[in-house]
Amino acid sequence: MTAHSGTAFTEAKAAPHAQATAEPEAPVFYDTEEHGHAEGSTMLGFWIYLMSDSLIFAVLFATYGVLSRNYAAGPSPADLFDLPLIALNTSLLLFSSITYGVAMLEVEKRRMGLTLFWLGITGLFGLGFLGIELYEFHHLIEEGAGPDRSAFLSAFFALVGTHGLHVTFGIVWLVTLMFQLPKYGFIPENRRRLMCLGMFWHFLDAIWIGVFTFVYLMGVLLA
Amino acid sequence: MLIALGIASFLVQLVVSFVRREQLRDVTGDPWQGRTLEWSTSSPPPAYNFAFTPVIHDLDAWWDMKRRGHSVPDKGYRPIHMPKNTGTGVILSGLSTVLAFALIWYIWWLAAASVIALLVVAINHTFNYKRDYYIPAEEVMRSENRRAQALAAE
Repeated sequence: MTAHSGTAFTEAKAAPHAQATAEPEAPVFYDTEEHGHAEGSTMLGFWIYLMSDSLIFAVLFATYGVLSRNYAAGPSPADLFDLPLIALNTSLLLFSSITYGVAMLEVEKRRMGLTLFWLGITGLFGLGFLGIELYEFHHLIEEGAGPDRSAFLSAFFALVGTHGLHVTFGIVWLVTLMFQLPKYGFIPENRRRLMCLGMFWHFLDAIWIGVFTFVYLMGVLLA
Repeated sequence: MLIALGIASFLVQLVVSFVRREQLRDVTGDPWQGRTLEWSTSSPPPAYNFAFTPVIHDLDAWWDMKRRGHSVPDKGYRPIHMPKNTGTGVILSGLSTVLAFALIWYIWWLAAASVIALLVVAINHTFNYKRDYYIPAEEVMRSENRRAQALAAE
């Protein structure tokens, strides 16, 4: 019986139309040749996460676009923003993306020391970016230009603050990986995590380009 | 009066179901001639759900399989790749609930504490690299054979 059903299975698979009968023929109902699950779904999942994060930023950008001229008789971007400081901030973040790329090249060569070194540099650039952003926020609030001053400033703090929170958690993730890499080595899990963090980091860079252009440059120059 | 009768019927049903639970127990997993695949496994289902992944040809796949005379393979079992159990998801949700409560009611110390707890639990979970295991083919075979015998005894 077992041997028979085995042959029937192969025949049905090889020639499904061999026997034309009035009764509906039984097709293959069970996949007996399954070879486990593909492990490659994390990347797709992470792309979907990044796209959903894009939607968050799209909403924040749209909010800012609507409210960016509602000053409530308060300060405008040209009064508040210090473009050279923001240029420094932007270059820190852009350089951190380059150094992350260099770290990934070292991952390909399986050189642990240099990987950690470039990841560390990336983290320091990230911390520098955050430091300047916190200094800017503190300065704005001290000047009485906090998020409660006008709709423009509410939208500004929501958009830029959300980006800053992302960078913060990116750094937490980076530091965690810098502990896990030497501990467990360049195992597939760690390389996958490095890929995901890289996508996240470059994604934050791309978002910042939008913030820099729409909030700071256009805010100050098109005022 | 009608409502009391309704409640009484419900209570009678509970008591009878409990007292006669051994006679009424379903061993087939498909007591009502179901149409979809959840009725094709045992009740309760095994941890791996299906020893062989069913191939679907119809919306009502299980009905289709019964109508066209499927035969369950009784050999050639393979080890089944399974995720390990972890409580992290539930713990993170619980802490998030605490965080939301703290934020809503301006309890800042609790908000800070739950954010830190969230980070600690999440980071701790990333140090767990052993997240899957295999159910050996022999164990799948034992469990499937038990089910085949239970079905044959019906």
